[in-house]
Amino acid sequence: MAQSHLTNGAAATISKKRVSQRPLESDLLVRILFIVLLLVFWQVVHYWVVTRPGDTSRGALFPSPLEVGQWLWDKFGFSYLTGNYQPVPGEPMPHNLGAALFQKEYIPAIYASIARLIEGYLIATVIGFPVGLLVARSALMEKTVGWLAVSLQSLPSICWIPLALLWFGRLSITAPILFVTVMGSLFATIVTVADGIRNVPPLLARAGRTLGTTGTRLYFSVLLPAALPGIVTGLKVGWSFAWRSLMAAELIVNSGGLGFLLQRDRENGDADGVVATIIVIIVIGLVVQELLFSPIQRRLQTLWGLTGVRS
Amino acid sequence: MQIQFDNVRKIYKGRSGAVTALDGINLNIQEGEFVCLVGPSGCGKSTLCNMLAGFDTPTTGRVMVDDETVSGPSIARVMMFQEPALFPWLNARDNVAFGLKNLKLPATEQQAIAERFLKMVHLAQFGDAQPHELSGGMRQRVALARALAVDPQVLLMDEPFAALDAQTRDHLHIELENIWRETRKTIVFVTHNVREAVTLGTRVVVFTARPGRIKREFNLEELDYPRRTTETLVAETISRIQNTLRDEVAKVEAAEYDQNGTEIGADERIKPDRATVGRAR
Repeated sequence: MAQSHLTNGAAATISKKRVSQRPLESDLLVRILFIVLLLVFWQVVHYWVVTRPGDTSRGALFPSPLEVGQWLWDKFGFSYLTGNYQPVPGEPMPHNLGAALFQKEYIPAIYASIARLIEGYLIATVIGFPVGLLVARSALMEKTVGWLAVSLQSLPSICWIPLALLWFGRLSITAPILFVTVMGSLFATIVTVADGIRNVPPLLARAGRTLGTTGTRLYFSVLLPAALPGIVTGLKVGWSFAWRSLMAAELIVNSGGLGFLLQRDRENGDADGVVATIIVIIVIGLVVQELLFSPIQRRLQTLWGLTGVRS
Repeated sequence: MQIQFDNVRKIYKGRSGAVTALDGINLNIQEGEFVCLVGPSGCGKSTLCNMLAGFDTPTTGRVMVDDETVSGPSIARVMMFQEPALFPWLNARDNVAFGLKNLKLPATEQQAIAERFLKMVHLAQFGDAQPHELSGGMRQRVALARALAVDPQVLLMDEPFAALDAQTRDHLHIELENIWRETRKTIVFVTHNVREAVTLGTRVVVFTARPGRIKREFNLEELDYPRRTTETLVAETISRIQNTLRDEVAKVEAAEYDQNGTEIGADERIKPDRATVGRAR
């Protein structure tokens, strides 16, 4: 009797693993197909817009996917491979591909933006994570700091820019950008981390307490691990807020980075460049999401059985 | 070891005024007893269990273990819930070993004890499984092993099998009975299932509808284990207890249908009487 019961459980486990793997591959295929269709649609629309007679300016303002691709190829420095590399004025011809990549504008801009992002995100997390824990733990903190964080979170981070320029503009050109990135990410981190802890089923805490676990040990051996999925979500939300705030700040503060490229190309009337930079920004967001946060979340989900086959 | 509920009363202050959940509870539980608390829903039997666990406090009266008033949760009074409440980030073995860390035992001994109790609930080869990989019944067995592993003075079980299907439940009844006969652990078991109470308990305490009072106690010490519901004496006991409970369940139903919301049972004082079931002495 017991034996048949046990094997049933094991069989259910195996079939579940099979189910949870399949969507990943087909997801990717569907997505690639969708992107290809989107590019085709874009090319068709572009052809229709540009070939309208008597209006030549519209073609320049609405680039084709091929033109954008060409822009990315050149401005990343990949044209070094095809032999038609144009060195940046005033700089020597690079000797290898690496040097070519770093001479052109995208790699240095990405490097500048990512460096600022990491700096701002780290500051926001180092402050926001412990404050989030405190807010979840104490009713007084929740009513005061927690409430303030929710209120300030509703302020679009771009609204901090004027103040940031007034306060830190003379300090350095990048200090206001850092400030805006931190402010954009900090409150979201506090709110989501606190939510993660608060959503721990009270029953788990009771199970810990009845087994003699109390005080800080209860916090570190029950509440914190139980809140881990929520905390990872909090860190992810904090990251995406930091990224958005950074782009907003770079658009306005004139000091390099991808946001600056957007603004410069707009001023030059280079729609190719604007669209290309938007794509770079999106791809960076996706890459961090897929390479950093998704594997952690997937790992937690399989370990905890959150894939949803059985509740 | 002796557990003593001394004139316990519990009043909840709700939006619609104060509700008396428990009133005038006097109950003594001796070491090695398997006491089942039975009553209609809302009678406060779970509240009583929570008070003994230290999760809740009486409004008046005292809950005492060995002449010491219960003031909070303790590893000496471990509670099992309707849900297994296993820690999802730990495998079955580490779940069982969880409480042992608080006993400050060496790590190797913790592992050995965890293995022993996994074996006791027949899950020895599932030590590495994560909770979600186990069936509902298996998870509840891990929870049982986790509670027993710390060797508590009393094991509290609040409707531990209510969420399981009938077959799994019967299976776990046999398992729990065997474990109890082997260890003679003091158990306080809350249920609304009379069959379950009669199959398992050495004593069944029947509660009235809200406010919960002890209506009657049935001493089943003389019923031999294993108890089959097909045995005449067991079947008779079940129907006697069900009859005792029927009036109380009817009161709850009447109150739920009553539009005026008059409080039930407020004017009747029921003296608990005792009955002993068994062969003629």
